[in-house]
Amino acid sequence: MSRRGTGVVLLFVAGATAVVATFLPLCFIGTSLTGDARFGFTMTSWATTSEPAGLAWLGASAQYGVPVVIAAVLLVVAAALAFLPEPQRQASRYTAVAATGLLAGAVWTTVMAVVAWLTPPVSDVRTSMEYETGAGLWVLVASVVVAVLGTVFLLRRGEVVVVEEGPVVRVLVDPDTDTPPLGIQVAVLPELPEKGTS
Amino acid sequence: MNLRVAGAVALGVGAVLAVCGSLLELYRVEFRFSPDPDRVDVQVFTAWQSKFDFAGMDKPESTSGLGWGLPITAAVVLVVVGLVLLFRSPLLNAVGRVVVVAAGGVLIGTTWSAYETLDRLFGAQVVPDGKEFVGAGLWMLVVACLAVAVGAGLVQEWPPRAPKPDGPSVYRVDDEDDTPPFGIPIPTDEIDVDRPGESPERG
Repeated sequence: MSRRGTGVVLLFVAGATAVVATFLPLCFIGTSLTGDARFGFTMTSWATTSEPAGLAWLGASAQYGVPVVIAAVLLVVAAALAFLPEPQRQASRYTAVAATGLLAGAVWTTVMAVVAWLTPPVSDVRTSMEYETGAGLWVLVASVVVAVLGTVFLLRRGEVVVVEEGPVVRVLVDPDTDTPPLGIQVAVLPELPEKGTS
Repeated sequence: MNLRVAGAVALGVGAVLAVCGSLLELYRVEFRFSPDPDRVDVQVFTAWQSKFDFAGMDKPESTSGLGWGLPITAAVVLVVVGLVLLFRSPLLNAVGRVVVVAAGGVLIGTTWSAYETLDRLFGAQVVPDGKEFVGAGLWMLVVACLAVAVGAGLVQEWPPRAPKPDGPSVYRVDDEDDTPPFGIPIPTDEIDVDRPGESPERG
């Protein structure tokens, strides 16, 4: 596959992965009960759910998914713009760079917040509280890595296109035999006075 | 002023504002737990630490906070690296133009996610009778995002517009049987209407 094709596929994968990751759990705080049962809270990028369901949760969930989804949309737009003809393809590259930066910043901030949230305020061996990072966090980080790779594949090695200054004049046909664009001057006779007027 | 210099100034201003914003107060939550109406519990978040000043405490206490200073610092470093590259050789300039766009993305993403967290997670809904304030730091970060975005746009080399023609445009239709748009040439010189038979060029 061509360099550009690889970049387009990677950008698309990164966008899809990032959107999927916002629905996966970022972290879990709680305790394990007997068997598979757990008691605690799971946070995704959109909502906080409790196990068992229906527990009260103080505060709303941070909507980390909003900037991530917008960055993902921009990644897909960049992938689509890569199919433009070469002079306009620069738009795709810059969109990809900006979207990757946006995704990286949003995911990094989210990771920092979740890690801070998972740092136990009281480190006591007697508490059985569990602080687990969820799959969503790692998938978000993976999407950033894929987006960076895709953007790098989309970038062009530094060929500098020299644009000529001023209007470009092209001679389409043989200038010796052709009519010039504004024609050749033709004699105009003076107007004769109209008959019947006196 | 040269567009590139104006963009570089905007980028520099954005970098300074981002550093200042990360040091100032991003968000402040005030609430009252104690029945005493004069006692207000305050929790303040900056990008580097969160500070608690509760009514029962002797002095304010700080924890390491949410650690958003790191991505903000990374964005600022990218802006500075891009700024330095912009005024080097044409190749490094091309790299710098891409770097400042990436830096703008990181800064906007960080600020946006930080706002989402602070507004939803530590907003007034957490405790009853609480008040939330968006601090000067967050506003400064927002302005820094704008400045970096504008600066990153200004330093780009936008493709030149197609030149506008000065006179009338002539479109030639390829059809051999047709009369050309300005007629068929007649071999004659321009004739002065006042002195027929004489050409002005020939005197």
